[in-house]
Amino acid sequence: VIDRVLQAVHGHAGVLAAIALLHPAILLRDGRPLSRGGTWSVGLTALITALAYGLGIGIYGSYRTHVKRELFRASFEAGLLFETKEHLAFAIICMTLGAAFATFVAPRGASELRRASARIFGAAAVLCFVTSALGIGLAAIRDFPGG
Amino acid sequence: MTDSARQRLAVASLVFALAAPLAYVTQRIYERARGAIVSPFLLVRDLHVGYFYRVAIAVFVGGAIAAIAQRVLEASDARPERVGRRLGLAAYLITAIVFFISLRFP
Repeated sequence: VIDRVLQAVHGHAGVLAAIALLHPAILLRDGRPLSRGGTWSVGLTALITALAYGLGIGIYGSYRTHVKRELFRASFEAGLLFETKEHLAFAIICMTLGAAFATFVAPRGASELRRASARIFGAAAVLCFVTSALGIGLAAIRDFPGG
Repeated sequence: MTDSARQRLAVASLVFALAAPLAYVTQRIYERARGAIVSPFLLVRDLHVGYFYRVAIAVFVGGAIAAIAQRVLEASDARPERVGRRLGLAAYLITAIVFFISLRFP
């Protein structure tokens, strides 16, 4: 039961992260220094994305044992898409944390660095939308037992 | 910390953001090339969780590349702002590469 709850929270956090990642991508696109609200936006985006990824890692062992094989059995292509999902998830967390740290540490005059962060946030948002869609689709095919 | 040191640190962070995913998919391609992918139906019997190893190695390689980038910036007179602009553009290309490899070689 706890795995099912964590999986649901993971899915919701993933969708939330995809939407949240758009905000710093828009906010930083003109390279202006971070306002207090902007600082909260970047920090919370990094936090939500890390939460989604951390929950995914948390249930990974159980998912591997109880669901992954059944997922491959139900549809081989779906099983491979789960692999794609985990690769993209790692890219998203690296891009998000790297861009967030760069945004925080960049001095006020470094507008080009903030623009670069905005682009990386935007790219991470696109990957996160794809990953969330894959996650929802795969959960519809095979889920933790007991549902 | 001086502004230039903070700029170099920011560039190193952006380098990590792009280098670690590339290191990850490179490992995946290597795994696929040497035929390490076993039948998915045997996955539950496999005690070695490859994902965690790939993640750990990619974080290490990404961090090492970021540290090297920071040292190179410190030693040269390249402007971190200009490097940052190039990294911003490279982000799209690297994202496309990571996406393609993840989809084509899952």
